[in-house]
Amino acid sequence: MNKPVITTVQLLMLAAGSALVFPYTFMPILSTPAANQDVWAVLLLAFVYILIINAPLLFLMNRFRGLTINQTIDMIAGKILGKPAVMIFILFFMYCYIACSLITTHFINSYLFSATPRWMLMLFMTVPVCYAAYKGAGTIGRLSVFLVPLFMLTIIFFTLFGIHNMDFSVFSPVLTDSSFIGLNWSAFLTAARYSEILIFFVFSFYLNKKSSINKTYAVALIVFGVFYMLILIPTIAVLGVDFAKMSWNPYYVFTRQVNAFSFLERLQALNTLAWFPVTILKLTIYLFMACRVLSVMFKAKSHNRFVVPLAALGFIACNIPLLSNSDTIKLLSSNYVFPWVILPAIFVLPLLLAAVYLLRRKKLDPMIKKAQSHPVSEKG
Amino acid sequence: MIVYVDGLADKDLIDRDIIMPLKSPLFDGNIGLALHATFTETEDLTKFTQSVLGGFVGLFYGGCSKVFLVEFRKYAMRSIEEPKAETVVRGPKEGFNENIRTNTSLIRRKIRNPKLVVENVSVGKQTNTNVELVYISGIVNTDVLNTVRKQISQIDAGMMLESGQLEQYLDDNPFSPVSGVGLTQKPDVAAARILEGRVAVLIDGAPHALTIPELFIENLHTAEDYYTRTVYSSILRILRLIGLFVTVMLPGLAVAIMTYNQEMIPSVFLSSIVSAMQKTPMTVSAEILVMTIMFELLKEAGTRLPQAVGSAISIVGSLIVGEAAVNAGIVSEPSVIIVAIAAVSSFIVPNLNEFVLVYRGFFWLMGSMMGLIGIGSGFVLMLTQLISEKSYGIPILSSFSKNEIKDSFIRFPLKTMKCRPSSIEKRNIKREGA
Amino acid sequence: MLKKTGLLLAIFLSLISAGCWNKKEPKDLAIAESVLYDRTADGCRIVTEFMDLKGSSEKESKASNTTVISQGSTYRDAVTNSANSINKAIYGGHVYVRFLSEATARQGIAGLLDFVLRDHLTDETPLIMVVKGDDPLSIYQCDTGLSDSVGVYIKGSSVSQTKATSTSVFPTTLDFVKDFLSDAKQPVAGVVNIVSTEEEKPSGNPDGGSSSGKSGRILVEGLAAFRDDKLVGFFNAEETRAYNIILGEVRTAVISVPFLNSYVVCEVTKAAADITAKIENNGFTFNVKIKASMRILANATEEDISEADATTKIEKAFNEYLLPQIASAVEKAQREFKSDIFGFGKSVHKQYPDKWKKIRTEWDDIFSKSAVTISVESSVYQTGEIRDSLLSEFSED
Repeated sequence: MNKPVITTVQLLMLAAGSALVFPYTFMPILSTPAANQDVWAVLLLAFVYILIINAPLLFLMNRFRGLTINQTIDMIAGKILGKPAVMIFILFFMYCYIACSLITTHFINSYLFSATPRWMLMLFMTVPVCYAAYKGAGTIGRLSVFLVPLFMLTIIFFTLFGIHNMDFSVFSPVLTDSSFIGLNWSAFLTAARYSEILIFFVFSFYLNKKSSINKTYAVALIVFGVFYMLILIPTIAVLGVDFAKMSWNPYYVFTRQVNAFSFLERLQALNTLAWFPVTILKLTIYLFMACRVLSVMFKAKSHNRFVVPLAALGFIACNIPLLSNSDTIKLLSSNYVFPWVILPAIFVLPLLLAAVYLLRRKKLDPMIKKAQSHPVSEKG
Repeated sequence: MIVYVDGLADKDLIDRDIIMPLKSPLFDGNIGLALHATFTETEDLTKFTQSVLGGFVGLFYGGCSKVFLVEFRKYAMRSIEEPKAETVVRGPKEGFNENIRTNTSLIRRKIRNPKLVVENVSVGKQTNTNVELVYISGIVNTDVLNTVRKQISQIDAGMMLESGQLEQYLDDNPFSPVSGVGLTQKPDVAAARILEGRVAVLIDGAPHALTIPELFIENLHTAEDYYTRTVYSSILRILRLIGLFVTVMLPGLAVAIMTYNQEMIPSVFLSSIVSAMQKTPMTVSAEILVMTIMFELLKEAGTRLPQAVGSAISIVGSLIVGEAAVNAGIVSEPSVIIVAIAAVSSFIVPNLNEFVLVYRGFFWLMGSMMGLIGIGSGFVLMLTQLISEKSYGIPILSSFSKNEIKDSFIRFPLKTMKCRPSSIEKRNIKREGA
Repeated sequence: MLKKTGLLLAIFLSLISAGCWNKKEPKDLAIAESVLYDRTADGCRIVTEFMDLKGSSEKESKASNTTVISQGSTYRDAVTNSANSINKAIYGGHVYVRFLSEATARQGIAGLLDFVLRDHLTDETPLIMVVKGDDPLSIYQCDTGLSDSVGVYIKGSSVSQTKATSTSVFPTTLDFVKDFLSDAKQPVAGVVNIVSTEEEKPSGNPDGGSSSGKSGRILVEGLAAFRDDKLVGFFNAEETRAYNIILGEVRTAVISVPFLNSYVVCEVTKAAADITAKIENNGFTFNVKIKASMRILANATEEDISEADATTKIEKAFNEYLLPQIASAVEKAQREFKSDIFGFGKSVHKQYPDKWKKIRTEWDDIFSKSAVTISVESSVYQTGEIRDSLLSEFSED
């Protein structure tokens, strides 16, 4: 069977949608040290850092076009060193999957369903996640085109209808309370959370030969930036920086203030309705990536057989009491853990790989050519 | 010896064009010259029996091993009428009837093109039903065509009486609530779909044409969309999309919001809901379920009964049962309203009955178990199912390319629709002359 | 296939039988519309007003709402205890107003705010109003006018009054918390006065006010100033209007200005203050420039106010009339409350960010010692539907 093809729009939606879930859920940028009224500047600066951090991986992706992540790493690092390197990615995907599940259930438990047990919530997440991940890359790609635009529409909707509550004077004085180092450090921490480059790393394999990765990446980043701003600015303008920093899910609290036509009030339910499917999409992406990389590593025919075991692993992990209490989740999502788990996977390791590639360039280039002319056929 | 099935062949014609010439003094023993009709010769016994059963007249003469077959079919059939399920205000009102020859001629009259191919196959071990594939070579997706041919040849069935049976044999996934096979009673619709690169399958004895493959979005289209002006038909399509959402999701959403997210309901509205529900014994989700089942019962009763009684049933159903149930405090007004809206909306998408029923129940279940979280979860499950569903290798719910969006939930002006839907056939998608 | 279907069916059935944890049937809800938080000698007391939906089918002229009083050692305790006095599940999603008794407000409400923001039963959308007087509970004995409940009454006022008078404020809990968390501005709350109807019997109705045996009337007017989480004092209607003008929150303020030998009535439709800070001999001086635009609603003088020089005179009169009102409001906040409810600190923060970092914690003390100069500018942009004064007809005779 032919490998599924995803379009650039789908890839863009996957990356942007997945990246927007966390701002929508707990807005990590507000927990950075320099989070005051200049937080928008932090966000702008963060994009510079994102580009720097993602550069090595982007470089590798373009060089190893049309190859799987396993092939790429095996080629550069050799068969023996390649396996552990791939393992790092798998562990990272699973970490993201579990952390995201934990954060999601924690949010639902504290804001929506306080009495509903965690396993029940996990079941409602895991079943669709498994189903979609089982169906493979093509389905996930097309799923994103339906879910993410709806999600973005709600952001626009909330912005438009929340505008009469907004008080833009909270943003003044501009750039006075924050130091240059503080801003940069916060921007770096924010940038270090953008792990969506790995979605490109895995999914660009399915991309049409002619389409450009760099362009898609850039557009995805811009879409992410614009919508992050549309989440951040209204939230702060309505809640004020201090209160926004205090609440667990500031965007949700913001949407509670939105009312439309003096008839529709407390529209946070709409927020839930748009947010939950995209969260499921994000989980699906990470689960699929883990399964996919695993299946290539073990030379399995398809990723399908890994879906249920890995999802079960996530399910069990999320029900461990130690992992599921507030403190652990706060720590997991904090600046002390999250960026430092992401960085090795998206920056340090790729940087090493890129360096090795540049050193062994002469030997590797013909190998890439050869591998590219014999594309791997796989079902998915 | 003349062999024919009484009731299938035209006796007058036999008298005039076969018996008369043979009895005439001018007859010189050369049958081929004597017959006043087109004929074929065969020595094949099966072909002979098949043909005679299909209305041919077989003629044995002398010691000849050959048999002459003359087509003098004549049997009772319905005239061409307006299909009841697909009525239009604007556009042709003719519909297919049970005679396959009439049906192919109706299509041929729409597409006067030598490339229009009508392929004949016989299906059904006992019934030997005549099935025809209609397509335009050069436009049709050959992969789909070959799969259809293969599937039809593999059908292992004794009987094939109706298009609905054939459809089930052709459908890839019998458990999916959406069919991968389209259905129409109108020759103009069938012709339009053939021109988009699809294969139409006609079956003798059924007034329907099956079109393959069928995309999900087509369920929101009607023939009239293309005959009315752009803006109007676009608005109608969006309305139908809303109708689809309402009929599938409204009961589930209503249960979810009324039992989990009351803060979303404006307080004046909430107070009237609460005071209405206080007088009834059941929970919201039970009320919705009961009313939905009641409605489906009435609907089923209405379709089965003769027309005169049918209207009585609808009066009994809507007025007496609805009104009395509310007054007696069995169900509350909000549930009745919600179920009624969902039920009325379901008639907007008549082809999706199965889909609507299955997913309405599904969302009801998800909504009453987990509120909006359940609805969100169910939405992803439904979308995944629809997206991964394929009709002959073509995803039925594909994301829209630049060209396809012109004829999706909106309709662009016909002048700009220069391409055929690319998801059906990638090669050669330019519509000629457009 | 059969196995799979069976498995799915089993899962779903088990889920249904497991029950639905957070389900709230609408008919089992006690929908709270307003809550009064009060402090007594033994602890905390709350009064919750519930929507009463029993009689809605009989189309009664006025549904009487149910109020429940409950006690507890903390406010959350009292909320839990109120479940003992009502036969349905308490639902806080539709609360419009949180009333604070004066005693509660004076003791400090930080703990209450924390509970309100933390608990998922409650949220930050309701208005926050202080009930003036010693007997806050009597608010639920008041006549609720055209609405069914006190909560709806106040909510309705919050919409109509901001458009009409500007002599009251209606901050939501969120607004209050925002100001509470900010160093540069102190929070304010709305004020509800209970006016006894026994003294003011309207002529022609000897029974007095309402016929339903209600003992009072609600008057929403004024402002409650807080310092941190404690109530420090009240503004009257005029001072509240001054507050609204300085904050630029006036939409309509109708002011009768003495003019010549009589008066004109001006409607201020837009007003904003430009506050600039300056450091002078170790203290701050503030320059408050108020700009108001208005139209004339009534003219009781003989002046033809459509003339340009007449409007200039009116503007001057208006400025002279408004200035002392605003000055006294600011002074009251400085001297009496020692609380920067006007947000003067924001301009210091903007203009002297480095200095601000050092003084932000003791800002209110510094504010109370600062000098404030106020100037008012106004412009008449419309003089109404008639041109000349009607009174001028008499003067010509």
